[in-house]
Amino acid sequence: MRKFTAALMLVLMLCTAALADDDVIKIGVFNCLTGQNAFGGQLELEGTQLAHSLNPEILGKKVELIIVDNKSDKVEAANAVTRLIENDKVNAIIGTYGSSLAMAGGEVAEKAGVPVIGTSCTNPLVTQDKKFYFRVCFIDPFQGAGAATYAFRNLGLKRAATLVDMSNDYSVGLGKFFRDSYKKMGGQIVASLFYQSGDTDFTAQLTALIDAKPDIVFLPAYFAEGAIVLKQAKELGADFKFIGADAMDNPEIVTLGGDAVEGFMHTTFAYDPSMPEMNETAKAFTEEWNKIHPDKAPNVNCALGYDCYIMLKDAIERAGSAEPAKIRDALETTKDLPTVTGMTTINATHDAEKDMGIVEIRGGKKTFVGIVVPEV
Amino acid sequence: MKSVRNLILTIIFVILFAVFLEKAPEFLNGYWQRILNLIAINAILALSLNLIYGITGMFSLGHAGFMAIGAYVSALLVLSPAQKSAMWILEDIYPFLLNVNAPFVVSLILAGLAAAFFGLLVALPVLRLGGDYLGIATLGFAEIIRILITNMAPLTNGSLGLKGIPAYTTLFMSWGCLGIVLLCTVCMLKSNFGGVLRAVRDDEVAAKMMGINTFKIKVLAFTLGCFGGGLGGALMGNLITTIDPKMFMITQTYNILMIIVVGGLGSVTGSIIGSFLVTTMLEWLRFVENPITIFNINIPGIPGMRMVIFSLLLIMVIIFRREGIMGMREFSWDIFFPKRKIKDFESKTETVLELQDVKLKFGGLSAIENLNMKIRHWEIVGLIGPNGAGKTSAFNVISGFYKPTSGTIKFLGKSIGGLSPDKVCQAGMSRTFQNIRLFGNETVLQNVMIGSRIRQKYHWWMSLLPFVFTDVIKEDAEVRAQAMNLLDQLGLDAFADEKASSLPYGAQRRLEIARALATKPRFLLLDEPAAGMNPQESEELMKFIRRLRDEFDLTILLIEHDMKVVMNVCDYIHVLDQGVHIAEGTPEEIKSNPKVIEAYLGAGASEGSAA
Repeated sequence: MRKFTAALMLVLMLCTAALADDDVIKIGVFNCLTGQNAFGGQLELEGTQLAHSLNPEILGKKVELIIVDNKSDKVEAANAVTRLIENDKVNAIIGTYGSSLAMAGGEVAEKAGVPVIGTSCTNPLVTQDKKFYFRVCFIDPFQGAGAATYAFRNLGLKRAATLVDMSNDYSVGLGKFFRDSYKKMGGQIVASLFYQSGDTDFTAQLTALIDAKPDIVFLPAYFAEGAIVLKQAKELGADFKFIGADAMDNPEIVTLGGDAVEGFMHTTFAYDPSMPEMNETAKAFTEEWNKIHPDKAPNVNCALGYDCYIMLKDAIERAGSAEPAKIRDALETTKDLPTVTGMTTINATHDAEKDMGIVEIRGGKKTFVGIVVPEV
Repeated sequence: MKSVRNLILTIIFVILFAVFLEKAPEFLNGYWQRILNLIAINAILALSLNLIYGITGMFSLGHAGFMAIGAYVSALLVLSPAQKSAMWILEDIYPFLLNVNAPFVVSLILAGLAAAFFGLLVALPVLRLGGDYLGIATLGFAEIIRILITNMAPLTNGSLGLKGIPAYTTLFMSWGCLGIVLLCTVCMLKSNFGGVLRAVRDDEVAAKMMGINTFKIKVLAFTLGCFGGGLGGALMGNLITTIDPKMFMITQTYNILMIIVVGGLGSVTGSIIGSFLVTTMLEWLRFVENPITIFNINIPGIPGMRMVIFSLLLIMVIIFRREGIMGMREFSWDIFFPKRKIKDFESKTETVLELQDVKLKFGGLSAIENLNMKIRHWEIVGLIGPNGAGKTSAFNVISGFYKPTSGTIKFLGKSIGGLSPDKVCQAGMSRTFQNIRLFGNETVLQNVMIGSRIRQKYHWWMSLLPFVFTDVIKEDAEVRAQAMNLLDQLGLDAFADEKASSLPYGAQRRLEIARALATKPRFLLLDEPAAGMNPQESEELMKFIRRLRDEFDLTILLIEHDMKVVMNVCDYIHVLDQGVHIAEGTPEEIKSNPKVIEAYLGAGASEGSAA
């Protein structure tokens, strides 16, 4: 046993030694590859890896991806980012799914002065007062307003309700911003109901919703719970519409929800494999993705993972250097960059400003309906 | 001398470690500093849960909840008003909270106190439950705390969590806190109170019978453990700099539980080793998730692989060391030094017990008049006399149950007159009772172990000087093994797991003696060991008493009515009559002493044979 351990140590040392190379740009990826958020983190990693394999060199230098798992755990997230910065000396970092994890990692990166691009961490607090944290996604207020705008303006529905996961920052934030925005436009919020992550019976909330007679219910849930809500709503004979947000954007939702998810809508990033008109980046991404994963359709997580790398590549090229501080400065001036999820511009709070898409499940398939401009 | 040596070694070690921490930033990068911080925080958490579960035996699954309370209290106190007002974006913060502010150290203490307060609130109703129920109840409590934090958005910012908490948790801060917690824990465990805690864990019923208010003790230990949980949570929050309710799920408790199980339930050393291993292993094993090239074979990294390997390692620990790495043992500097043998008695003729003019009066009634007695090492001495002669009173004076009205009692050269029974017991004297006083509901092994607990009552002030009195804790770790060993020597090992009350009468007598022996006496008082025995059992008893003396190097004083036993087994006999010491001598001399024949044998010959 001791010999075996010694041998392992030796191998480890050789591996690390082999990595010490100046002509390499090191990009760290920290994401949830295990734990409760692994489904999202894995997809994002695959997106990033795809972008890397298509663009293995930036500024003529080889790019090396260093991947660390954060186990969907805050302590591990902080450890992972520290490790990337201190041990692997990365130039920049991509990650992560889960805003609380991004916040834990962000503090470390901020202190060390290494730029990070968040994939799908949508909590406004992630980039608040941060010089080095950026994100390729838009934030919760923006998306909540988007769903409200689509429901009120495009669909012309005047009575709305929200069903929110109280223990989920993402869900709580979206619900609040949906209500604010909807009321501002002149709509009426007839009910505001809550559940806790892990609940499996939503009959009580759904019965209350049926009594309140809304035209539409905003359900900013994760896809697994969202699918159950939709199923139980159908069983109870609810006749109102449901609209969700990007966490419902997962290929699994149709498998889980069956015919109950028919007609369900959700806001998402302006990308879906079913989009009729894609930009060049999105086309290339879809094509290459399908080559590698013929049995798995890409979703927004894959696209966001991909976009982070594209955004980083753009910044490094414009900076003409892989120095962390220079990458940061360049990231701040990202403007109208063509990415899979539309044209990306980084605003003053380091959040991406981009179009928002609406997807509806039609005939058991995700169908891209169009673009919406949120009235914040 | 040994304790002084150990104290010096400890001080040297602490100084060296402080120098190491001071110099750490020069040769350790931020990553390793972070790991070091985590080790200290995990150790604090592990120690506090170990106090509750490992040491006092309360299966609590609520630690994450107390951590959450501590983390939030500290964070809300150290965050600046500007930060707070920027963060509450969903609901407005309570106005009073905005301007509440305290220095970090104060916030740590308040965090601990807040957690302790909630711990107390939980403990009062919940600790009336035991075992699994307690586990479920505390698990529920932790979940309630988490849900409250999620829902009390104006106070806690709800599920959005808090961020930007100043990173006050430095190496000195985390290790300093661990140092203080460790010092307090070690001191407490070495003290009288620590012995009581373990007694409650080992046998609550018996502990109650020994006059311990077990409920109060449990509440106290639970509250203290919760303080540690709150402190650890606060340090954790200030290390990670962001907290949210999801951080404090049941998995957080499992993590700490894992540390104390791996390290050894009930071992402080084990908790430290456990937190070191668990924290570093999880990080060190990260390499197995990286793509590795060995001899040109590319092995792609598999996410989650380190968890698999880590779990396997855990299983191995549990298989090969079921009681954890340390079991219940503790670290001591003594392991670096060869053991010195305890000095033997200088001569076999040394006086063990000496009574001079001992008088005992109850009001006007004189129970004992001028008792003079000298018992030498290795002797088996009998104390006889008719009923009401004052034999048991003499026993009670010697063993500290009664304070002599006058006169001196010297035991091993020291005066013990007027000392309480536990002090007398510590001095090396133990006794059995006329009517068997076993803990009938407990197993034979447990009975003997409780006997050892008495040995652990030390002066409270000793606990103020940690590591000085190491001899104390060493014995404690071996209690179980010693108890088993004792049972083996007394031929009771086969009954170890039987209920004490189910034993045959003779075996119960022997068990009571075994329990007395567990206190490691030099001197044993046996009060009517042959009472109620048939002739065959008495025969066995006589052999047994001699064997006891030989094997345990004892001096024995016994009260007995069975003259056959007294005359056969005793080297020397004292006779009392109505509190007056009327005769002493060898069995032969006593048999022919006219005073004895008149006062005792002559007048009550029938009584002697009836017993």
